[in-house]
Amino acid sequence: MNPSIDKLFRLHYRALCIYALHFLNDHDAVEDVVQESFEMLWRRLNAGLKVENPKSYLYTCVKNRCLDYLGKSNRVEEVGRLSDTLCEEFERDSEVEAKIWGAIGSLPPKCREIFLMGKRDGVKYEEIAEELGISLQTVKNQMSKALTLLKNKLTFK
Amino acid sequence: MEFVLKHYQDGRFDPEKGLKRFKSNKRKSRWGYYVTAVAAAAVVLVVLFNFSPIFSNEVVLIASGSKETFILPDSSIVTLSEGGSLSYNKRGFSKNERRLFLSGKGYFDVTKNPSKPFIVATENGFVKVLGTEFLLEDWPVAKVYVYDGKVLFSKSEKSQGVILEKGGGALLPKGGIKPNILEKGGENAIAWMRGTFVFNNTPLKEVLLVLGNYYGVSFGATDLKKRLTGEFGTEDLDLIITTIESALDVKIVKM
Repeated sequence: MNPSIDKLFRLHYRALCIYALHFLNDHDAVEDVVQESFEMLWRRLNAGLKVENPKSYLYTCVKNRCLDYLGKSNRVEEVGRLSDTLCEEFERDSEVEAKIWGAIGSLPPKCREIFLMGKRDGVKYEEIAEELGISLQTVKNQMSKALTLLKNKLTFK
Repeated sequence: MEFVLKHYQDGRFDPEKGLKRFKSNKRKSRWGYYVTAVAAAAVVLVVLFNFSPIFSNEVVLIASGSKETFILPDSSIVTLSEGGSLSYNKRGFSKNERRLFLSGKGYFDVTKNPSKPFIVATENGFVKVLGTEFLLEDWPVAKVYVYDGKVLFSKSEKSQGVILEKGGGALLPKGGIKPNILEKGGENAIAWMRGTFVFNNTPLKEVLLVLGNYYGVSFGATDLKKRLTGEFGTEDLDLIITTIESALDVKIVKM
């Protein structure tokens, strides 16, 4: 099999998923769209056709498929709203967002759980402590640990 | 950051999981096929490479599963039927002309470019176009149907040919030199590509011939003169047969 597809997956898969998420807001649909886009690229390469810039090919492919998808589900007004500049913005953002996503994923499990409850779900520190049966100080410690780890991960690269 | 936090789900969008899914996902058979094809081709290329470096520029497109669509370097689109293959020289293509060799069945949607003729040769026939949509089959005989534009169809580059326009068709009889014009059949010649058969007041006898050719079976029916109008998907032959039987009130048997 083509080794460059493996490499492209590792480099861009997550960012492409997040890029698609800007359009679709549906995690399953997003992964389907990205899988299909990789398949299109793979078939092109396999057919001996040259792809000058695989990365931008993938982004274009994902975008078009997302727009198709939105069109199919009769949400035309959402398609209209998406200007080219906005798409470019999404593309730029998604690489950074993929790094943040990966960094959150690599937090220690307990630490991640507390971080997500607090920052994603908006649960108050006291309520987290109560729900998990730990002290308020532990919640605070874990939260600052999470933030430090994330900061280190994201500024190093 | 807010965007990620809003949507973050544990274990989602993992590249390794994605790659695993990509590799296993219903593509297994095709992977195997391509890998062997590539391996075999590599051996051939290695052998040929030592004798003639020109071969390294040969691009071969093959439809391995069912039909498959490819985009050529000039943006023309070709759909090959199962087992069909198309080859061209990477360096030569689009220099002065766009020259291809077809084996099997291919539907071409050609990008217009009058200064670079689009030429498809097969074992038995030869088609030259400037920009059009057409179907070319090379087996059992060379056969062409034109869906848009104009093509020149002949036995070889030098022999006398016929000019076919939109809606026209022709075939080259085995051993013949000049193509015979075909009055009909274009609609269903691309059933494999479109996924539908189209009949328009067609006698049942002809309907069954079309279906028989497509699926490789013969039929008998109680009344072959009745006429049929309608569209049918190509996936399920038995469904087509029962539908026709009830629509025309006939009995059809496979023989």
